[in-house]
Amino acid sequence: MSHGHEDHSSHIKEYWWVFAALMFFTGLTVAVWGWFDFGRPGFSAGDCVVGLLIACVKASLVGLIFMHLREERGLIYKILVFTFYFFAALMFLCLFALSDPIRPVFGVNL
Amino acid sequence: MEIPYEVTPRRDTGLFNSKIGIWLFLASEVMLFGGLFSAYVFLRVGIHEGIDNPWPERVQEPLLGAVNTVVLIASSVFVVLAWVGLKMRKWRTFQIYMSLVIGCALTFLVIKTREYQTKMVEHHGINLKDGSVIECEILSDNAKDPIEKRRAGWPAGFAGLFGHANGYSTLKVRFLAESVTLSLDSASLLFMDYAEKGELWPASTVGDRKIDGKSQWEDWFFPAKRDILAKLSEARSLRRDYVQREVLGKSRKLDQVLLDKDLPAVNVETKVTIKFDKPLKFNVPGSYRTASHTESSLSFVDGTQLAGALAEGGDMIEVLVHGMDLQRLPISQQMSAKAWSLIVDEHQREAAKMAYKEEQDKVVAEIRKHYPEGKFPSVEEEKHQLGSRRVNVLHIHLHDHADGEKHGESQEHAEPKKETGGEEKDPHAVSGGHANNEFILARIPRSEVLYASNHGPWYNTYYAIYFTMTGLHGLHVLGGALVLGYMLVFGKKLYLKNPEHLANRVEVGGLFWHFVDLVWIFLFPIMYLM
Amino acid sequence: MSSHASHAEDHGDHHHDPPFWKKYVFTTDHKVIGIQYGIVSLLFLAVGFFLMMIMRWSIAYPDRPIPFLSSMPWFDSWLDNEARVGGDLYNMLGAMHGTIMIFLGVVPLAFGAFGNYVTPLQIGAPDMAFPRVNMASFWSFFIGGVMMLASFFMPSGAAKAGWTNYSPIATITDTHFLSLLWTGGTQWLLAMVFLITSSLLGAVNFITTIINLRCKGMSWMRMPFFVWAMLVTGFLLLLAFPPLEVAAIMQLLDRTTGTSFFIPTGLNVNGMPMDAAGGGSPLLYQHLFWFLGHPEVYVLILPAIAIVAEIIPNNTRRPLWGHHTMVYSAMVLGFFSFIVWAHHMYMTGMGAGVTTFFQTVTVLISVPSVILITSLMISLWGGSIRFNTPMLFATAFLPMFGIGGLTGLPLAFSELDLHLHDTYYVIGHFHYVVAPGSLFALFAGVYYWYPKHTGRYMNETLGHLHFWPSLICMNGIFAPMFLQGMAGFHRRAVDGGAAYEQLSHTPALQWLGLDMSMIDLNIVTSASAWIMAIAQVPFVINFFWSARMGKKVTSDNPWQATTLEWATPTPPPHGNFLTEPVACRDPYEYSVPGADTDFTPQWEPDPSGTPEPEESPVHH
Repeated sequence: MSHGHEDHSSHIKEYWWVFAALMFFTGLTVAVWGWFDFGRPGFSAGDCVVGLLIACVKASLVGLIFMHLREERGLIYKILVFTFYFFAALMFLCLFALSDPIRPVFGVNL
Repeated sequence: MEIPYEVTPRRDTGLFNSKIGIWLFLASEVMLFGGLFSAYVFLRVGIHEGIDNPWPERVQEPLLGAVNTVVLIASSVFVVLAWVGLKMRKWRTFQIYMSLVIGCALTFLVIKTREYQTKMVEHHGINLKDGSVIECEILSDNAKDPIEKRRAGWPAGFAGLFGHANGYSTLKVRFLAESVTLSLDSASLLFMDYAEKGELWPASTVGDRKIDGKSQWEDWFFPAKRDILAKLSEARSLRRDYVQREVLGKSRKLDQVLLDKDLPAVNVETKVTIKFDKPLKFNVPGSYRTASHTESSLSFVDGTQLAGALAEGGDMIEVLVHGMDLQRLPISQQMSAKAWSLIVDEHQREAAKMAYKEEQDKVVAEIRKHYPEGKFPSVEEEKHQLGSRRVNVLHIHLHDHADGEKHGESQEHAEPKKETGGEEKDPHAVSGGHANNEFILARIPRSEVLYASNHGPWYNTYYAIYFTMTGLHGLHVLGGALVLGYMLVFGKKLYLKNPEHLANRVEVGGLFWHFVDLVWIFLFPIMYLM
Repeated sequence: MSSHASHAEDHGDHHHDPPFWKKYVFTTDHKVIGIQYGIVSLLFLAVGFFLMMIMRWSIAYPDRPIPFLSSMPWFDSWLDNEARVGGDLYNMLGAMHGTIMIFLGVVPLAFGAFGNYVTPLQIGAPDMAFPRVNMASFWSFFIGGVMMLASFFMPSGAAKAGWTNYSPIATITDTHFLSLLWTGGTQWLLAMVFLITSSLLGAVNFITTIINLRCKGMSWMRMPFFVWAMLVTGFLLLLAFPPLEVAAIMQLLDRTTGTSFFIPTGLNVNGMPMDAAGGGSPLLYQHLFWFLGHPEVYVLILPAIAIVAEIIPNNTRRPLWGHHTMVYSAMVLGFFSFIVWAHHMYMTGMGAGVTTFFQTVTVLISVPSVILITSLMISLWGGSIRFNTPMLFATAFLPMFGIGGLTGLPLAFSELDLHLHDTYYVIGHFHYVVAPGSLFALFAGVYYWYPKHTGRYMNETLGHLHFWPSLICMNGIFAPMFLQGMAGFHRRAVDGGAAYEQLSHTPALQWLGLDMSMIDLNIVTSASAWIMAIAQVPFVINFFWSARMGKKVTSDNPWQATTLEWATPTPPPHGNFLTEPVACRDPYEYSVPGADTDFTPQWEPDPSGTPEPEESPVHH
């Protein structure tokens, strides 16, 4: 990073704000576990979605601010976009294979 | 020769080498943990209702996970601040924040170790053949006092990596052997590793020779083995030479050659029986990978056979019951599960069943409340897997109410509960007897057991993926802490020479550290809260 | 001591001749590492070939004792009492042939050796971006390779569950040995962890080098196709290997500690219920494995295509046809290669929806492949071709790879694949891609870049003696496999189908309609394989003889090529270039109208003006 020294001191404040936000979201995640129930009582798809959404928000905060992705060069983004494409391919095609809508043959997922 | 762009960024890409390197490395790390997350989803979604173990939901203590989350996030902030310190050329700031990072890493690892330890040492589950599961602690064989017995040591789970025992099967067969039969062509003396402690290498008779103590055993065994192998190989080479001469030399068909009268045969007696002077006690994991047993013999997988008898109570397992997990049984059959009859004390058994019934009624009522008549008919008629899954779903919810009631528990029992989280908080868990500060003792015949182990990664697929993911993550924490620690301790020289270079290194190390934090941000909800 | 040290500091490293072990063993010089990779992987290729020759004896002559080897100590213990190859040994040889050829032979030779040696030279870099990581990559590979070889000498022998190492068979093989750590299956997994680590380190290094160490003027589109192929290959390795690492770790845990990642509920082993918790999924392993497995195919073939793409323009004296098109095709190929993996898994009973998806993308991926091969063919058109040895191998690559590719198309369709799965047809198909395909290209590369390092050409006569028999034998080996495969011959039969032949003579079983007319082709195949072993002798002789006695090159650019590696002295010194290289033009400027010679090297200044700015705006 090619900023001067003054820039950094202004960043420090920002880092602490992000820290506070992350703490808040951690608390929220635990709260989702303990108090709120989306959909069915206990664990359910609703909890799952909300829990993961919060995790995504936290992850973006860490990525954008702490890992400086906000001010990073396009090249890094390209690498990351590739990676997430392949990761998504791995996870969702596996899931697709597991719960294929057209499955008349054996009826059982092995 | 110097590599360009090690410190200063290249003009057109705007990046120095190690920054590209670390982002590429992180990309591959994304795929590494991506593979693990995919495996998690695949294993969880792929559970067959009624066939596989149900996926344990919310069985971890979320408090420890949450604390670890806070610790890691804090360390992330510190590492960024340490970098800023370097950028502003404040060595002291860097030192302070980096020390905090290392401290956080160590705290994280300590908490993690404690979590592992409680699962591996203090908690076992015994799956019975009728589908019920007893949550318990298995008592070691030697101690008498149940409270002493609780300290049955670290199970041999990891020993499997390094040695002979596949110790995930914590149930041992105790066997009193009078003699051992070795197939000298393949056998080793490894079976002696399973003799009970203090009984190694007994005085014995082989043929008309006496052997006593390790060195005499070995003095006999290795020459005898060499001898047999030499004989075998001689016999085989005679036969091979003959076959080769006839088939390759005279172009005869092998089928006919095999019928020849003068075809040398390979019949070398390789089995030798050794009689122990007095019966020798063995303690063997009864696993298909190690040994199978009958009343009068025990066969190791390498062909070694012990003859004798099962020791007294040799296939009985004594356990201290923590709770019953009857999820796999239909609700109507849960009260008559096999597991109940194994509790030794009749009074305790009845009390436990009462307590269980009480919880069960609550669960049924809860189900009825949430699923009105039309949608969810009677619980009894419900296919039992579906029903039990819903029972399982409810237990955390119910537990919140139950918490207040259990408040008056004795200190001794409250403690292990806190450490291990949800397993015992199951509404199905037996609470009778606990209030009186008594242990519930159960005796389980080995023949009733389908599978038994501690709550290590071998217990079911959830624990498997939990230990693998958190274990790999823990290794990343350790690795990251080592690298950052190196910069803290040995960085001064580089700082004085080229502070920008050190700042770059800390930035790169920090990027790795944030990634480790990022993985944990996802691990926490999926391992602890779902 | 101190004066010695200060002396070194004052004058820099190059005045000092580092000790032998630092210069040739634990070296950080990319060229030496490349040669280390090359020699080790050529040795591994020989080992893999040797294993296959033993298998071929058993297939061709199942009821004859094996000659020569039956009296070899150690090896004889693996043969049965009649000195024949038994099922266990056959499985071991098969598994290790695949593993060694792919992970220890072709990939390290293509990516490790040529990639390491040529890439930094072609982009005008002094070395790799992380020289020490480069060294770590080689030694990690070396340790993995030694572990693989050492596992042959363990009581259990090497891994036996196929190069794919499917669970649960791989999990339970040899678990009856009391020390699980020292069994072939466990060692295979541990060795894979080392090999994967090596590949990851290599990939990070390659990509960084290509992105950041290009010399002045070397814009993205001025990079030769070889560098582009290395970039794409690097990304394939970087992103496809980690899931396999995960699978290897999981299987290792399954095997040694008794977890149930890939163990289904209720599995029985040898009639005893397996005492594992169950609940795992064997299919999960296959998904994770083939997520690597398919991109790995392109790791095998992309560098090969790239080598051919360097040699063809050089010897036709014409520019590479469609350089940019090929670059984009390689990128599309890499992109697609990640989402076609489940076409290896049609037989697992996947649903029709997902099968249709994978069928479609599999057919789609043939488009970029065909673009690549067609561009190379068109490059031949109208050239005045010099048929030296590298060019012979390069031209032979085209039809051989073509056959391999085209015979793969039927396998993309699930209905046909159900019939052909696990038959010799599949063996024939992928071997045409990697044996006469990749291997020929790699041989071409050895002949082509040999003068750069040694300053001497390899012998042409021996080269011809190597090429022609190899070409004929390759086809003798693999062409019959298509016929056999379509007749239903199974790839894992230790006796090559002899047991079925006996059945086919049984009158009561006539209705089975077993077609055994192809069984004699086993002998054709095996004989071709053994003759091919002899055909490699000229290459070995040539490789060592020419280093001392070969014809000397007269300039640093003996092939009159255009790319930057020929701008270095012969052999290139530590640090590569004497003066800072500048790329002034596109990489394949052969027979430019109006030029003095029929080649205009990249480093030749453009008379029209200064080199282009460092970055071209077209890309990135």
